[in-house]
Amino acid sequence: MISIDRMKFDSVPANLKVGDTIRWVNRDAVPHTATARDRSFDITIPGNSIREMKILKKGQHEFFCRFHPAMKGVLSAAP
Amino acid sequence: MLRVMFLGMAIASSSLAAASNDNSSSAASTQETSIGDAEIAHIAYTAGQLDVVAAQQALERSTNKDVRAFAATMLRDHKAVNDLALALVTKLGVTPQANPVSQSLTDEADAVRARIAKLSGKAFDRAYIDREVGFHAAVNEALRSTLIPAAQHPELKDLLEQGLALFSAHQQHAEDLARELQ
Repeated sequence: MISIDRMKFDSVPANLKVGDTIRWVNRDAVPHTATARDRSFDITIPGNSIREMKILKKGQHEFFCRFHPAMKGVLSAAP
Repeated sequence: MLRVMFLGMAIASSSLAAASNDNSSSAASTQETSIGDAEIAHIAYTAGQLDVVAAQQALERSTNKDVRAFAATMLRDHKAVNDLALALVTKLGVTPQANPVSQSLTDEADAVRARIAKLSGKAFDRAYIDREVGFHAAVNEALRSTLIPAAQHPELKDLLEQGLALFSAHQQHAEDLARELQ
């Protein structure tokens, strides 16, 4: 699970691997996205909502919110 | 933008100075006003609504992809927060009260909107984004230094703190865009 609260991505769980499911929990009232800079994922999470996403690509993925570009994180996935 | 920034200082230091409940200082200036949750709610809602209107103007006039995306975010976010604010004041039984600060915000925003309506292309984009930088800086300063400390009800204070986090991200986004538009 990765929470989003007050315009920040919470810490990303360690030891993730391809095939794992990430649960994005948006506790803000406004929508956010989790968008990989390499475009390996791009998910929109409406305000006060939860969305799930399967990790499809190994490697270190920097991600950000397209609506609020100052929001950033890094997700690392093993094969 | 300077006028907006001046207004921000006014919000932070003058018009809301009575938040200190210092009756002697309140009496010292006719520009000062008592500030309670009803006034705070009105100021916060007004600021959000004014930025919605500014975003609508940008979506009507700008063809710049990044400026339009920013405006769409302003429209969506400020509407969402104002919907929350309306639900909260209804729940708390607080009736937002018009006051000199929210009127000043409105007057200033109206003047800027009229001024930049005469611009087009890159000149409009720059003016709109500069306005967004100044407006968010002023509102954030007012939230940080005056409105949040003065808010009495914990749920209103919490909503204002959520707003400050959101509007600070908006300000940074606008500052980044302003640099790109130079």
